[in-house]
Amino acid sequence: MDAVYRLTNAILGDEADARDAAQEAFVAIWRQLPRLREPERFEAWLQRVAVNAARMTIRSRSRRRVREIPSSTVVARAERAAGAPPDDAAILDAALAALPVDQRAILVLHHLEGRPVAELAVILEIPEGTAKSRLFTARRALADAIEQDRGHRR
Amino acid sequence: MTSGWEDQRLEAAFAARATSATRPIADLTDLTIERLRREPRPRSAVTRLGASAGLAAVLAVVVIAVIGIGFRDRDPLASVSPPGTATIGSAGSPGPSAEPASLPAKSVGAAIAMRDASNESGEIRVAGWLRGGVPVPCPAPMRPYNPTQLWCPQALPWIVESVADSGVGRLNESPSGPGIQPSFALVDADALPSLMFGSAPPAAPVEITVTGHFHDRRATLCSSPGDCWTSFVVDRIDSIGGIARPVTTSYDLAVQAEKGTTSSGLEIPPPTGPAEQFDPAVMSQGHRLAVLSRRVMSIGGLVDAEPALAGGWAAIGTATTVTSITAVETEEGSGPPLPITFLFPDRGPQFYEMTADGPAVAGNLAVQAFPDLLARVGRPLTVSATIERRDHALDATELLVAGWAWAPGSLFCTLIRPGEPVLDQCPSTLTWLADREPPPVKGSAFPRPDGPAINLVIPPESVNLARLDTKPTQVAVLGHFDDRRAAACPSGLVERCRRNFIVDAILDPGRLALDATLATTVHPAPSNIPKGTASWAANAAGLPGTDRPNRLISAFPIAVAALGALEPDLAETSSTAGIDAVWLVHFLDQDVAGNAIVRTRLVIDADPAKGPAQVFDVTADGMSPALSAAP
Repeated sequence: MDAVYRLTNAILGDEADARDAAQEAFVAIWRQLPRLREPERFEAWLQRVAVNAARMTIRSRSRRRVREIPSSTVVARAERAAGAPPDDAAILDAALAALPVDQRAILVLHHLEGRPVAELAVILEIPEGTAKSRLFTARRALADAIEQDRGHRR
Repeated sequence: MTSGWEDQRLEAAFAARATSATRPIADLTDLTIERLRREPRPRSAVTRLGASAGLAAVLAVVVIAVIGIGFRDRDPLASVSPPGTATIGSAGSPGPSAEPASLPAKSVGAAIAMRDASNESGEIRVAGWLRGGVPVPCPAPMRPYNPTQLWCPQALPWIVESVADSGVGRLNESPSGPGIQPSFALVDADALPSLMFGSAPPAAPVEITVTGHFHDRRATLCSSPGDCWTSFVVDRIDSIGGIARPVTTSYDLAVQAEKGTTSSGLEIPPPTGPAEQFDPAVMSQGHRLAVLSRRVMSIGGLVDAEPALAGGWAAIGTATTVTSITAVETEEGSGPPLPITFLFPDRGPQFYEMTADGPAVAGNLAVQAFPDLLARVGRPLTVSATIERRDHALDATELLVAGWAWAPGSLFCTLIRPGEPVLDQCPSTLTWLADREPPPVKGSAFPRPDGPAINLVIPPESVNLARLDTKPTQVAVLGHFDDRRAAACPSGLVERCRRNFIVDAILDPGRLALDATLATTVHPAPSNIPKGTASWAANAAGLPGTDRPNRLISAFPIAVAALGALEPDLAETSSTAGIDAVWLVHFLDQDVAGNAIVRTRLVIDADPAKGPAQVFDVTADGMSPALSAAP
C-alpha cells in the first residue's frame, strides 16, 4: 500500500487524489487478481494498475470540477506566494502540475522509481521506442514548465 | 533537460518531493480493507498468489510483494510481461488519435483478449465478419429490458474473426473461431441486413466494423450480471460491407418520431428539433468528446435503454421524448476512451450525464437567443455534423454552426483570382472553423485544426464578423454551402466552390442574434455617395422594420462598377446600364421545401422621395424583377 500510495502521490501531487487513486488501484488489483497469470510479473502489473488509477482519478477530478485541496498544498502555495525561496522539490512540484498525467507518470516511473526505458515500455504497454520518445517529450515539457515557472517568479 | 537540471538533480528533487509528502497510510489501509470487504470475492484470486486468508491477507500479500520485490531491485526485463496488449486510448495508442474512426480497429480475437485483460469499459473498434443468427422461435422478451442482455441469443448475429470460422452452413453451431455476440440494442439495427437475425439457409457473412465496449455499467442491473458484464454493447456501426456509415440517429421501437405516434397508438408529440441539435452541447463538455450515436426515445424506451431509471426520474418533467447521445472521450493520454451517455429531455432546459448512480446534471441548454433565429435555422450544429451534411446532402440550406474559429489576420495573399467571392483562396484557406480548440502554436505559425474543421469563405457582403480573430474563439457561424455563385467559379472548380462554406455572419454563441444595426451599416464603402438609405433599401426589398430582426443579414450600397466582385454574373447587365450604384439586400427566407435559405435582392439606388424603387431578385439564373418586394 505504501508503495502504491507513493507512486500515485508522486504522479498526482495531491494527497486526497492520491489516496483515492491508491484505493482504486487496490480495488482493481482485488478484482483482477484472477487474471494475473504469472505472479512473478506482479510488480510491473501493480505499477500499471496504479498509473491507470491515477489517470482515472485525474479524469474524474476534471469531471467533478470541485475538489478538496489538502492543507499541506495550501501551506506550500502560501509559502511560495510569500516569497520563500523555493527548493527543488517545490519547483518540481509546480512544474509537474502543468504537465498531462501521462507525462507525469513516465517521469515519476523513470526518475523516482528508477525504471529504465525498457521497463517503462512494459509497464505502460507501449513499444520501447515509443517509451523513449515519450520520456524525451515529457522531459522537454518539464524543462519548459520549469522555465515558465521561473519566469513567473522573476 | 533545462540548464542546471541534469538527471542527478532531477532524481534528488523527485525523491525529496516524495519524502515531503504526507503519508496517512494506516487509515488508508483500513479504509481500503473495509471497501474490499464489500467487493464480490474474485474466483481463485487468492490461490494464484498462494495465499488463503481473507481480504486483509490479500492486501498484505500485495504490500509484501511490492516491498519484497523492491522498487529498485527489479526483476530483469525478461521476467515481466511483453508489450503488445495495449488498451485502446491508453498510453499504448499511437499518434494523436482524435476521432472515433481513428481508433485502431482490432480483430475479434484481440477484442476478446482486451475484454479478459481488464474490467475497463473503454471503447474498442472491432473489425470482423457479421454472421447471421439461427431462425429459431423466440419467446417475447421479458421486461425489464437491459441493453447488455442478449435475449434469445441463438437468433442473434455474431461478429467473427474470419469467414472460415463463421460456422455458416452448420445450423445451431457457434463459430469455430473467435466470435462475439454484440448487442445492437442502442444503435440503428435497421442498418444491418435483416437476414442476419436468422434465415434459412444462413445468410453469407458480411464485413462489419463496429465501435462499442464490454463491461457496461448497466450489467449490474441485468438478471444475469456475469453474462451481461462480458456483453459487447455496440455504440456505433462504423461500416457494413466495407461502406462507411456516418453518425446516425436511431429511434426506439415505441417511437416513430416522424409520425408522432407510438406502436400502441398513443400520441407522442415529435421532438422539437433534430437530435443533431444537441451535439454542440455534448462537445461543450470538454474532454474532446466525439459523438458516436444518437437515439430518440419515448419514456418507455428510455427505461429500456437505461434500466436504472425504471423507478422513475423526477427531472423528466413533462417531456415525452428523450434524446440520448453517446460520445467517447478522445483526449489522448486520459486513459481508455470511455463512452459517456448524455440525456436531453425534450423541451427541458438542462441535460444530464447518465452514470451508474443515475443522471447527473451536465449543463444548461438555455442560451440568450432570439427565438425566431433558431426557429428559422435550428440550433447550432457541430462542424462534424456540418461536414456530414455537406458530404451527404449538399444544398444551400442556411446553417448555424458552432465551433472554434480563427483567421490569419493581416496577411499578404498572392495569386488571388479577383471576382471569385465563393472560391476558397487565401485568406479563406487559412480561416478555420473547428469542433475543437486547436493546439497552441509558437511564434508566428498559424494554428492548425486538430479534428473536424472547415474553411470559412467570407465574401465581401458578410457582416457581424467582429467575433473572428487571429486567436481561436468560440463562435456560431451562420452560412451555407452550395452558393448560387459557385456556377461562376472557373471551369473545373465549380464543384469545389459548391462545397465551400460561405459565411453570412459570425455570432457570439451566447447571443445568437443578427444585429440589425450592423446589418444596415454601409459595407463595403461605395465609390460614390448613394441617394437612398439602408432602411429604404430593406423596405424596398420587402423587409419592413418589423420583419428585419433576425431576418435581415445585410443591406449595403455598392458602385455598379464594383458589383462584379460580389456578383460575378451581374458585372455587365442591361438592367444596371447607366446606373451608378445599387443596394444589395441579403435576408433569411424559406425555399419551397421550407428550408432556411439566404435570398438576395438588388435595389437600384434612387432618391427615396422620387417614386417606387426598382427591385430585382438575384438568383442563379441572374436578375429578375422581384414580384414579392414592396412597391
